[in-house]
Amino acid sequence: MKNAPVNDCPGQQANRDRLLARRDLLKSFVQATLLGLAGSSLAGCAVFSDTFTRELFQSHYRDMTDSELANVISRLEEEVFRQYKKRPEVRTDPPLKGVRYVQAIDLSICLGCGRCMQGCFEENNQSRSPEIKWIIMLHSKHLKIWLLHDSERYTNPPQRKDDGNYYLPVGCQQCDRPACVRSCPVQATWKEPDGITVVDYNWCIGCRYCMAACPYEARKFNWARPTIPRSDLNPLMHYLGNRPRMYGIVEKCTFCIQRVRKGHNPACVDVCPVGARKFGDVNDPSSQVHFIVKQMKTIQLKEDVGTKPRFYYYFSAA
Amino acid sequence: MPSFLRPFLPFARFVYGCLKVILSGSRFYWAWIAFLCVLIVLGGFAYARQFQQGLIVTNMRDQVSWAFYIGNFTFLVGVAAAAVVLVIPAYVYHWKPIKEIAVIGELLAVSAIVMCIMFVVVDIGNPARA
Repeated sequence: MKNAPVNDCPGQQANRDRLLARRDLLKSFVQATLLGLAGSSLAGCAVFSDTFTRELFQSHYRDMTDSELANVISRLEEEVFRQYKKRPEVRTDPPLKGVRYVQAIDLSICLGCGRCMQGCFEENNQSRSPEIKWIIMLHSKHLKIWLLHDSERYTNPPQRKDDGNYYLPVGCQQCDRPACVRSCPVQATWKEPDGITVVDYNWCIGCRYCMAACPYEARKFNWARPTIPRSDLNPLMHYLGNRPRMYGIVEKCTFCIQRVRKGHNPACVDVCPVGARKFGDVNDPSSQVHFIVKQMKTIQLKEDVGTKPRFYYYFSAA
Repeated sequence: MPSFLRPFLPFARFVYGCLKVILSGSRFYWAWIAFLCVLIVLGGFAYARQFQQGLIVTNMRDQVSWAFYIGNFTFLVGVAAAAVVLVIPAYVYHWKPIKEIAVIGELLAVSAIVMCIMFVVVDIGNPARA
């Protein structure tokens, strides 16, 4: 075959035949695959329950029309009612115009009491077992803010001693250049115009790439089915915020989107007993955070990784 | 034979040929196949359990085992790519001795790719949506 002359007609003919046969084979293979896929999906539709299929074929939050969204919301409310016997209100408030939310923490007065962790936990319908907490608290003698992974975690507030430690609550930094959003292969997470990074829990496939990408450990994965006692369920919910999550998806702090879009403070800010947490619109010149961001010396966590966090730490007193 | 079935004929012949090769072997071969089937069934049961209870059954929350599934995926992609590259010395440079290995390489590549797909599916939390 190698030494055959170039214009050997029978050889060429045989070659072409072989190519055609191969193409036929490929074509038949593709057809068989398509048929198989169609058949299995039809069978799947018949087997699975109506809610399951409706959930499966639900489109992306930002692509949904108003009527689709209303359908989804009523379905979600029904599901929550069936599971928790509590009538919830799932809201879809859009972002307020011209608002950019920022949070700041005064480290010189943070007590490390852990009430922000607990308040967040209760407000946002977090899984009680296995426990998921959006805020982590670090403590150390010296401020080692570049060592997030190696820092000592602080989880037992009642045993706290006034030993001159710094307490550093770390939550989602709501970055302006979020690594998590860029790493998501299905665009289930995105930045809203008011600066909050949100997740469409029904679009997330649970690949956990965002968790690997986030330098602040702000994203949590539902490794098991979340459990919330019926009495603890917070019935005021937002689609992108604290509605009960399913297992196998990633969730994160949303600055309590269900509260801030109605003009309230996040739960961690309201619950802080010493007022160490400040929250507001950085575009509003009369707000506290505007003053802090523009006038005071602030620290940001891991500035060098270039995520441009919108979460500031500062010292009001030495 | 109806005309719409004709394009499937070469494929059917291919499948028949494969089956003929697969279904012939010594007693040791069948023992090995049985052992592998047992492993496959065990894996199926384990995955059913994971699908029901979530990825918590894998203990991948730990820093060490965090990317166990997806790490295997990248490893097997490398295996498949290397096995496919065996074709180049065999069929581009016409180096005879490696041709026998090239066929085994292709088989290895196909099985590695199948394992890759399965590792991706078991790794993600919501395979039905992806």
